[in-house]
Amino acid sequence: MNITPYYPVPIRTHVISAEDDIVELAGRYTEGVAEPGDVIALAESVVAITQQRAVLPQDVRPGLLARFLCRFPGKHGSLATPPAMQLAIREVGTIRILLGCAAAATGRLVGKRGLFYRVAGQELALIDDVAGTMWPYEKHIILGPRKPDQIVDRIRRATGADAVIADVNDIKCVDILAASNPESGRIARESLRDNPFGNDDQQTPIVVIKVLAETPDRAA
Amino acid sequence: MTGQLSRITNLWSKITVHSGHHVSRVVIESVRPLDCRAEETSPGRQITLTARHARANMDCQAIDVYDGLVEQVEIADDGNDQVTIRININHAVPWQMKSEPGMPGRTVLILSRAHLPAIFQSIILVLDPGHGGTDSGGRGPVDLLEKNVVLSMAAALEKVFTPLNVQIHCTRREDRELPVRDRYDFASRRKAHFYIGLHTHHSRDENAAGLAVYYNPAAPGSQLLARLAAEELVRKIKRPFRGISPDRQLSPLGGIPGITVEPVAISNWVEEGLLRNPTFYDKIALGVFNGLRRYIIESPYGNNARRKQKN
Repeated sequence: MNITPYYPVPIRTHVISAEDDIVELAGRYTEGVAEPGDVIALAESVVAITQQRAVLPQDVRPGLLARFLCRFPGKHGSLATPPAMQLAIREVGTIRILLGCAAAATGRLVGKRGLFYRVAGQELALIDDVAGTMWPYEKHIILGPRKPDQIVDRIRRATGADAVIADVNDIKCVDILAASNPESGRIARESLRDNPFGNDDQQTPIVVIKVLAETPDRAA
Repeated sequence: MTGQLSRITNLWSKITVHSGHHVSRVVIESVRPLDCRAEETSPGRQITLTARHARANMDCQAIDVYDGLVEQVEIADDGNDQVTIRININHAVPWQMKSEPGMPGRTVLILSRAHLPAIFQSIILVLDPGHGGTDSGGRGPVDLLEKNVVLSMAAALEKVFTPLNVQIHCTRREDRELPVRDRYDFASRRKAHFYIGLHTHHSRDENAAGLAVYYNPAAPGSQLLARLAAEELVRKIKRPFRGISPDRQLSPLGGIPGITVEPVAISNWVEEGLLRNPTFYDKIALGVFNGLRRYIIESPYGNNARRKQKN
């Protein structure tokens, strides 16, 4: 028997593009599924795509600084390519990036991780480098979404259900960028750990977290 | 619960083990149990599920599966509270439908894959991951090496073919040097029915990308095998197609139908990134498997291989 009263229901969507309005999409795909008390969770990369925040690397001209700095983050990280580092510089400015690098260097000396993002800006941790997002956006660098708080509020007003924007990975890390209320953030953090958005071509960037009083049976 | 309609929210498919046998599971998720019936509308080609009092909240485009049995799944909402789901298959197989209650509820179509071992039974397949040891092959712009990623490709292929009674022989399973000539001798000594070399493309042009398949010009049927493998790989991994061409380096294989597969260019930023995703190797393996399956079933050369294995 499942003891948690939260049940993630992933919804398969079309390939979402910059032509789409994320609030309209959330309303259309969750109609008849989400009710007041439930939580509509959106994958942050898809919100960003609707905001024209998907950038082709060939449209970015990395400078010398970006080419130099991209050698230092972990090879499997998000800023390992010159175009992604250039976009990071564009997002927060050269000074914050350099301060972040100084903090990261200090952190290495004292064995403390994560100082680069803490100083340069947590929004940089949301950048997905090439091949970090599912087809057909694998060729793009995806920046973090803008004004996530406003979006979740608009979705709550449009649907009556709470909303969150989340960044989830496959090591059970759930980062809530915005939540229409603190409780919905807590519910999402608990319910999205198994990444129902998927890491491949599941195409389920919208998940309705059903909050049920009764526990439905699940066959083995 | 909102309204009385079943809302279909998601549809996915997976190869899994059911009661000790490999099956394809097609799963339809909904927020209420589906009032659903299933029938084989075209024997060996299509099974149709009709759900009444239902609507599709999910996108209704066809979903590519290509798992060696299930080809595509189409879903259509007729607008009158009825949803039709068509599962296109490539072989007549036993199947059953069952419901799994829960949130979301699941309607599951279980299709037997028991016919596949019979197709591949006793086939001897040599997998040859290229390079190794001090010969790293291509290098990705970040840090991946061709000699390592081809070992992952071989492991994924082995995972797909082993349950089908295929005799797999790998020229190498670890990081060691192996002369090209020894690789072909290995295939000849093992009396291989098929040889599959695994490589990635690499180029100074970082924009070079995509899939190519090379074939042994000395073996009749190799060109067809290359074409079928390429077609199926393109469907699975959705990369640009750089074509098929003969490779005289493979000629020492003699009459063994052989191909060298280069699914991606490791020197390309994007494609090196794809090689970091473990599921990408599963797709490569299924693409090669589908190509070989079609070759054995559809071509006279493939039938010859099957006859040889029986003798």
